[in-house]
Amino acid sequence: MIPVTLLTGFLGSGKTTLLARLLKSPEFGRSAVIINEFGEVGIDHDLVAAAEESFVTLETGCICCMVRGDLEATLADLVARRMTGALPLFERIVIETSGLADPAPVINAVMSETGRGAGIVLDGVVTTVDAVTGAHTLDREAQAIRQVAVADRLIVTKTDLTGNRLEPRLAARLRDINPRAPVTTAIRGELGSGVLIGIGSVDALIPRAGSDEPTPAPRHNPSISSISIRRADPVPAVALTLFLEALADHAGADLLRLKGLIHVAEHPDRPAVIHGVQHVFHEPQWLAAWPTDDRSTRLVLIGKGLSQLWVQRLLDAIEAEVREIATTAAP
Amino acid sequence: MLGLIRASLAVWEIDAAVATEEDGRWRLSLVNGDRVVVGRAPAGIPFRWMVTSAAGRERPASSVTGLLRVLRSTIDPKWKPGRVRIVPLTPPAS
Repeated sequence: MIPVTLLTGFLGSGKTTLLARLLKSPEFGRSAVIINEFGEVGIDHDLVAAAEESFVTLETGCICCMVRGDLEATLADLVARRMTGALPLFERIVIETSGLADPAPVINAVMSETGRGAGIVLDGVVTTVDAVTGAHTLDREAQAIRQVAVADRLIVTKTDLTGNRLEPRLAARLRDINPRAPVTTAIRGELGSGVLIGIGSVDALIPRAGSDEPTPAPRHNPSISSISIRRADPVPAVALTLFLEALADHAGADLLRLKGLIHVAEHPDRPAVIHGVQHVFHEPQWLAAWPTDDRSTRLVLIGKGLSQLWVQRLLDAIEAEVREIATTAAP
Repeated sequence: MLGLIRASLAVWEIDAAVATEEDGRWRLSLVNGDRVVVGRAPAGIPFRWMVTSAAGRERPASSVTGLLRVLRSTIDPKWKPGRVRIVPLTPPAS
């Protein structure tokens, strides 16, 4: 499977600078890059000098609202041409969205291609945030909040302009919106490229040593919040399906992202990885084995107006009902 | 279930007082004066839950998920559930 890195971030937050630096690193040296710019004439792609074995393709228009179908076609086409030898044997795809893009439909596009067997898989979402203007942007731009909310990694850029430090207000704001995404700083795109490798959503659900602490509650009660659920007991498959149905019914487009590693009662040795973005839930991927000894179910939900209490009680009630029916139906 | 109903009303931003009646059903008193009652469906029908609207109309539901859908649309007739269809989580054969 070819990993796909989604690079997003608000206008002027340093995405292209970061990408240009990354493409010079060995880890990103053989990458296919899709740059999306809002407007008829693209500029960013001229600023990215790709390595010899990398190449850049350009999509104009806002990737999230008009070219989702085109993006899926582009991804499928890239992989097909790679297989026939018409394109270099790239090892990674990087999608840079326009600064105005909602990343959720782009995530959907990548996952849809995964579901169609295109041989690609979302490695992670990287969001750049301007150290100087980031807090102000988050105060006034809903799209910037969504970009931060769905990130697996947050890269704060231009910290040379803030004395090489992350301003406490911005740090608190990022923690409020997305407490799980590790925050890294970058100056003029300088960043250890390993920081952006292997950040896949499944890995993000596996606690690192010493990090399995409860997520701090948002201090400022932002409209977008992140909820985590952990359950030691296996979840019956039908309970999970009903749970996702209820989420789709009542959260719908407000559910920006859901990801989970599920211990399904009927298949205890093969965890299921589930992804949902807004109202689209993708077919689960079944891992060959548990990645660690921890076999608990872990779910992360990021969205607007979500309630930890409601989500918890919903899953509790559905599980209890499914078990009650199973008990009643048992001979 | 009572806890889930209360949490759901909060998420839906519906202001209502919830009380348990003598027969074990739950009565939701809305701010507009309407009363909606939620309880287990009577034995002998293939449903688990029953929602009775202020007008006395009874609507059954076969699961917790269905109950929430029926309850919310009873309280707020303009509400429409998400259109997504969830693919059943079928474990692989091997």
